[in-house]
Amino acid sequence: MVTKALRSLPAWVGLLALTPLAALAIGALTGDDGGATRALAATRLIDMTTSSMLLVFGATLGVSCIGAGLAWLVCNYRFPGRGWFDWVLMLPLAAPSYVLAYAYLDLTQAAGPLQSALRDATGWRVGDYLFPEVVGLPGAILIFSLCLYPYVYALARSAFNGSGGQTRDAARLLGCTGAAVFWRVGLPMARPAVAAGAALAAMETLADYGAVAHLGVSTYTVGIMRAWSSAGEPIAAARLAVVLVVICLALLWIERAARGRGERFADAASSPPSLIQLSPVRAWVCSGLCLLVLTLALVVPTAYLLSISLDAGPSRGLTDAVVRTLLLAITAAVILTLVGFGIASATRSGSPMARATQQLMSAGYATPGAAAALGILMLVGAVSTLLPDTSIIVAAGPALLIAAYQCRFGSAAQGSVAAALSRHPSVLDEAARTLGCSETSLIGRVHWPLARTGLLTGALLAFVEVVKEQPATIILRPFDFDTLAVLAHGYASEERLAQAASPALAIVLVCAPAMIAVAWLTRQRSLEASANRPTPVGAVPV
Amino acid sequence: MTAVLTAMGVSREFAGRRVVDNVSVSLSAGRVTALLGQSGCGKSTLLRMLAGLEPVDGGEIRNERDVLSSPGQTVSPDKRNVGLVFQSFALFSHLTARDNVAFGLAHEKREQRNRIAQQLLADAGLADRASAYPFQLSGGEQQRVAIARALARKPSAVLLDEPFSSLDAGLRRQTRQRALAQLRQASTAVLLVTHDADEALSEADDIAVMKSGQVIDAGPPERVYATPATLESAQLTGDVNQLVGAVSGARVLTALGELPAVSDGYALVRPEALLVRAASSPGAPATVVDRRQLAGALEITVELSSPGRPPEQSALRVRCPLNSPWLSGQTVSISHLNATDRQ
Repeated sequence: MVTKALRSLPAWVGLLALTPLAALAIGALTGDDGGATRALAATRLIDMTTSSMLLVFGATLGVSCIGAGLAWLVCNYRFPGRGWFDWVLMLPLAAPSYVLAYAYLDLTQAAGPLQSALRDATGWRVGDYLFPEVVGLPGAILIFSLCLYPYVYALARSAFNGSGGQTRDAARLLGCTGAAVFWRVGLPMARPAVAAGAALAAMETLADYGAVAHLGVSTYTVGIMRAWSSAGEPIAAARLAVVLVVICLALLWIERAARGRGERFADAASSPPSLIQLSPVRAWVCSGLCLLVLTLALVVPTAYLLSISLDAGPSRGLTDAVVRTLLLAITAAVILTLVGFGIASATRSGSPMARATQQLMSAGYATPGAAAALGILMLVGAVSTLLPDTSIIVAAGPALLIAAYQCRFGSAAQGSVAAALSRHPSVLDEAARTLGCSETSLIGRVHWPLARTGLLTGALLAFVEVVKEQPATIILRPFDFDTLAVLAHGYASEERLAQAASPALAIVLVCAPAMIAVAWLTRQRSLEASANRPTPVGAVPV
Repeated sequence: MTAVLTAMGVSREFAGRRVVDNVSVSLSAGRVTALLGQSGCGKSTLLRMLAGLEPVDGGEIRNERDVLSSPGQTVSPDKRNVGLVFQSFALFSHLTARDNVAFGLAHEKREQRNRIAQQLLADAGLADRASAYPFQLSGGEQQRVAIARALARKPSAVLLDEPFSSLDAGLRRQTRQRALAQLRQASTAVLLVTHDADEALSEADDIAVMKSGQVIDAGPPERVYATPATLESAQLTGDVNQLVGAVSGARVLTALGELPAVSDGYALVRPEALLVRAASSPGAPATVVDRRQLAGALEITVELSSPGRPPEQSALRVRCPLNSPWLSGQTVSISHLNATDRQ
């Protein structure tokens, strides 16, 4: 009895972490905002909707072009550095979009170093020339395209490698040239993967707050944060958040449907396509393109922020923020991964409740941080009316943050573990059971060791996401509990980039090793899967 | 002979479809029982029921002392003392061969565990492969590790779920003989689930033939092969000719003489039970219509010269020595090795 209760604990935790969504919906539907929502609808709603939709459209197009294009090059052509680019192109995920926004806006604005250098060189004055500043909607589209393309890249790369390598070889033998193979065979087969990646990127774009706020694009998230903080209208904020969640759930549905279609295209028996040898010039052009994207997405912003940080010195509160961020992110990563493992393990053992929780957690993944945080506030508000002493809620500050992270990123951590487990056939569980393993010992003796790469990947992904997460942390952090993301936002919103640079840079430096590890683990797995060594009959993939 | 694991009238349904229907089978120590049937006939479900991985909807499964499965009650697989070897072997990829074999010995001290595992690997001829991981082992080696692992807990019965089917033909026979010898030596009751009639006939002490969830024939291999209970049983255990004729009691009067009738009212004759001789010899006159070279034999198809009979009832396949002179179009005489002469 106790064992069963313990086994279902992770599923309960997962479900509990989703209650803020229910609280958000109830608050939005039943709360009284004194006409604030109507006023919002009359004034800024159309603008917010237009900006959000245009941003999502532009960013989706951008990530699809960059992600699918780079994946095609890496999967089909032999060029200098190809093996290295194969996984390094995932690293821009270590830099959150707001870090790129801080760097590029400052770099390209009239008072920034590029325009200053241009004026010094030509003697022109401001207004004498046109210069593409990274600001507003076009700037935001560029930023999101650069920092979110890895979502499309990763899925498109698996699709190009995993589906019909021989088909593309056949197309070449039938006279298709490189570009025609891409348009006629490669892209149509990888289209579901590209669509799935683009939907994920669109969800991230809609969830973002820091970058759009900094670049002056009025999206739903900006509206939510302003309604909550500046206007003091939590119900209006909740209503906007519900709209945003519904849009994100629709995107999630698109992503899941696209993945389902992609699986039908996948050809398990197919080997990756043979790499095409290019002329030296073309090969270097390929390397140059990969390097250009990597430079724009990671090297330029990081180097620029580094130069500013070195000039300005570390900002006040940086060390404390680093320690807090690490403590918070490590704690959250461990909790999220353990809960995810519990749910994945119970699902594998056939628990219907765990399976249902797993499905519902996807809704959490689609929930922007601002919406999750508002939901938690509403839940806390409802609970606090029942408590005689509210100091316990104040003390629970960091726990509320972890709850928001569980709601938002629990699915990502759980998904990594579940994916690792699903690579091993369920007959292993049955074998263990016939060899004397009880249901409980199966978890420790079979599921845990089989899931270990997934546990590590899940924990690293959760760690990176928590370090980067801005709106939920801004809303829910306890008083005087600034993390790196909060500190960077605080300085950036006051236009003090010199001070914002060091926490922003610290985020990249903290996340980069974790992303390198994730990229390396993913590469190891794909190398093992496509290893040339003949797979012995009956061998179970490692 | 004591039965160590017995299924009595067990049934199992999935979505209203009865995939195992009132099946009884009994496993005895030191004997190999083959469960023969085509894919989807329910044999793997029966095996999973015996292992405790599936509940039973009807009937019961018991060992020498206790009921292990009955409707609404299933002793879990870890408490049944039944070993199972999977078609894919299901070796734990994160453990070495030795640790795989020692997996089921968690109650033993580490040294003892390793000693037993090493001994079992040595018995399987894998003493020098103990530290190898599954991906470093060949298919045959993996199969031997899987059997050693199943034997480590000294199970009263070992269930083999087509464990040889994924091996190359050359390796299969050798591995199978070695594995079954090892199991017999350990006095374990063995259930070998297979769709390969040669495997069942050559290796088993008893055969149960399954079709559509039911056991349609059971007995020693010689009996099941020589006098199959039904046409389906005959077809599942090898090539067979179907002869019609006037039924007289338990026998059928055919063109080749009087032969035992199966329940459906035909006589069934294996190709190798027929004798082809020159047309002048005693027997039924026939014409050779096809000639095919097999591994180690020649198969000819003859058409009995029985006016008025449709071709499907007069064509017979006959297996003869490789150097037989019969050619297409030639007239021959056909007789049955065990038939009683025509009255």
